[in-house]
Amino acid sequence: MIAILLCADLETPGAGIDLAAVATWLEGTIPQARVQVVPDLCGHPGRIAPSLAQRAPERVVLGLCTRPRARADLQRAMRRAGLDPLLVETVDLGACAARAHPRAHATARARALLAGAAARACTAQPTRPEQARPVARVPLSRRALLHLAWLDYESVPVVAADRCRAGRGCALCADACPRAALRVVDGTVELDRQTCTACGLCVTACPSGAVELPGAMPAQIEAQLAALLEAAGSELGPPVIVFTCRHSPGDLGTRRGETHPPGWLPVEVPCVAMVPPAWLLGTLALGAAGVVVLPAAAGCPDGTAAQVAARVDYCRAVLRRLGEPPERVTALPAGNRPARRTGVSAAPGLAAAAGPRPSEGFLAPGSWARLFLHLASVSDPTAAWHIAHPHSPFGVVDVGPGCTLCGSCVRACPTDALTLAHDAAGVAVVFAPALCVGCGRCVSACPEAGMLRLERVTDLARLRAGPATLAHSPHRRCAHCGAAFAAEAMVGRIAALLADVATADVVTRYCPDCRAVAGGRLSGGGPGVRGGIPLAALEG
Amino acid sequence: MGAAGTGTLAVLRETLYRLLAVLLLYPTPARLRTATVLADALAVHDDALAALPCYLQWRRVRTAIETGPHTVLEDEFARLFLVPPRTPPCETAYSVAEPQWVLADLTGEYAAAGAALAAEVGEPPDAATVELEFMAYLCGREREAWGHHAADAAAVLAREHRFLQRHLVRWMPAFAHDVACAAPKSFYAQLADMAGAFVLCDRDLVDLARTCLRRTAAVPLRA
Repeated sequence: MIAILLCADLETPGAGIDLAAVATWLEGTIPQARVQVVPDLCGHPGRIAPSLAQRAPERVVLGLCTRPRARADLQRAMRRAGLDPLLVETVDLGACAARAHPRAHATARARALLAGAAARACTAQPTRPEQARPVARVPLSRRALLHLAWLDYESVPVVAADRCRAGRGCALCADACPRAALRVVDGTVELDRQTCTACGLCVTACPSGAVELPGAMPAQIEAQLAALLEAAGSELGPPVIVFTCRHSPGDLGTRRGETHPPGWLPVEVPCVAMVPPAWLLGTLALGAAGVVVLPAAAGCPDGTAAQVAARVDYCRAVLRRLGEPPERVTALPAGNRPARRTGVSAAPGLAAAAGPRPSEGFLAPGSWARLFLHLASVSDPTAAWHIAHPHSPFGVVDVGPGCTLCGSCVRACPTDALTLAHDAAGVAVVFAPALCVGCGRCVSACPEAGMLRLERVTDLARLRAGPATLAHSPHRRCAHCGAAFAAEAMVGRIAALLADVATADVVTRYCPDCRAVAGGRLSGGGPGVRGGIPLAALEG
Repeated sequence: MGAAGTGTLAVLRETLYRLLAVLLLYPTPARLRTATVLADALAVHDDALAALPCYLQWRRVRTAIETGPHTVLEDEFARLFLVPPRTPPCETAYSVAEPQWVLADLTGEYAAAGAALAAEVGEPPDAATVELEFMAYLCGREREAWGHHAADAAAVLAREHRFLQRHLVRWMPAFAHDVACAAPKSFYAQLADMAGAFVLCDRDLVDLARTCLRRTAAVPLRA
């Protein structure tokens, strides 16, 4: 059961919200939802526990008049109600609805925003103790320390060791971190909890989904987007999803008297730079008319604006290929928000044209190819475009002639995009374009300079075609026992390197088990038996 | 918490550590009575406890202490910690370092803080109950130091930080995980869960306190 508590004062600010209508709609639409309007909830977080006492909900959404200032009080109240505060979703319905729009629109927006928040809360996984970190939002003093009323906690990421590929040389999360809070030590990712700002860039950079940040997981964002767009319908005009930074949430251009269109629906993320192109385009696939990236009003303290702009640029290149207006994905500059002048296209959602939405889970790393193929199927099922762009979420690896199939690239690949396939005929390097994130670890690992080529490109034909063999070589079989012991290509390379070495013939003709015997003879051991195998047998 | 006054945080932490330590001993009636007294003392500070992320775990443990029945605990304790295959509540079972090194380091830590393991305790230096009791001892010293000289408090906090980081934080969460796997619904699973969560939480609190001391003037606060 999910409890949705609404502050009764939302009826009054600005034009107000018809809370009864919102409650009726939510309970009718979300079977597990129970809505309660609580008098002065914003001013008295202590009323949360009594409100939930008889219900024992698994998740809670709070619809408040303003963003909670006394977060510590709110968190204490949630704990008293038996809930993990890091799993509670709060919606600033005052700024996002009641104070910004006429009553009918405000009510419809409140409905949609709460439905989205409920979906996000329901898909949250339980947190672990190490995912909570205290935040000092007041100047630390000894007296402050001695009463904990100010103490509130925020989420920090943890790395799931069972899914992490750092042991294979992957360091994509560390590379993505703007504060260098993550580092790989002896094949394990270590997080400096004091330096980390919980921006979430590591979450979307990890190709195996090993970085977990409560509240910002792909499954949660996807559920929220789907519910939000479904609830918004067409009543508010063309729905536009606005990814907002947590540092200035709800700020959709209300400064200097400007307002945002009622169809602009905010989705708060820890940092807008964590939003990968797949999320931007996936939002369109879910039915949004447009997507806006709205950085913090004061600008990103980590200087990620260029990264956001480059991702939007990539998305626009994709939209052009799809025959869609590129303005459907837009990044607004920091500072004032002239929302009505951004020119975000109000074209119908791609999903509306295509019929069904892509199946669930397409925002998770590793599933992005499915999204791109879905998007392409809307415009032209046979399209075969490719886009070379430094922010392409995919890479394409090619192998030049002379690959020895040593497997170094395979061992270095953090996503298993490169694999070695063995069969009776030989061994092959197989490349799965849908899994490649273009990290370049394979190129670094290849011992043959210039053998591997990597291009950051979204190649639709290759994504559609699936895994392909990049290099193949038959097995070299042992001249004595007949066992396959290496690829012909590898043996050929070794033979070339050992051209002047006397034992080269032994190395290239015999498997390791039989090689010792032949080696003994060649090193002057003379006729006899070693390792149980008569040397004479090797001659045959 | 504010009403409780200066030094309450150290008192709170000391009591929590003492409660955890006594509950991780074999559950005799006398020990359980002590635990009840400590739990009642903590209940006074419920508002402060609610500020900590381990509050939910604390509530579950408190409910279990209040409701009993305590006779079940003897069986649970024996099954989990005494009879093989067991989940021993001691650091060397979880540490990757050599046991001798761990024991020597612990003994050194205790001695450096002016403490020693009494012979009649009958527990090894790496037992959870001993390590938790040692933290309670440090918190007690910190509480006294707050009223006198900030430098003393800083020194004790540094020792607490070091001990948590080198010992309890490293293994208590893993111990909690193992107990939860062995007996998910048992009292000791809840207790270990709370201990694991609390040592992580306390590490952060100690960090905050140290940061605070570094930033503020060394003016003593009255207890």
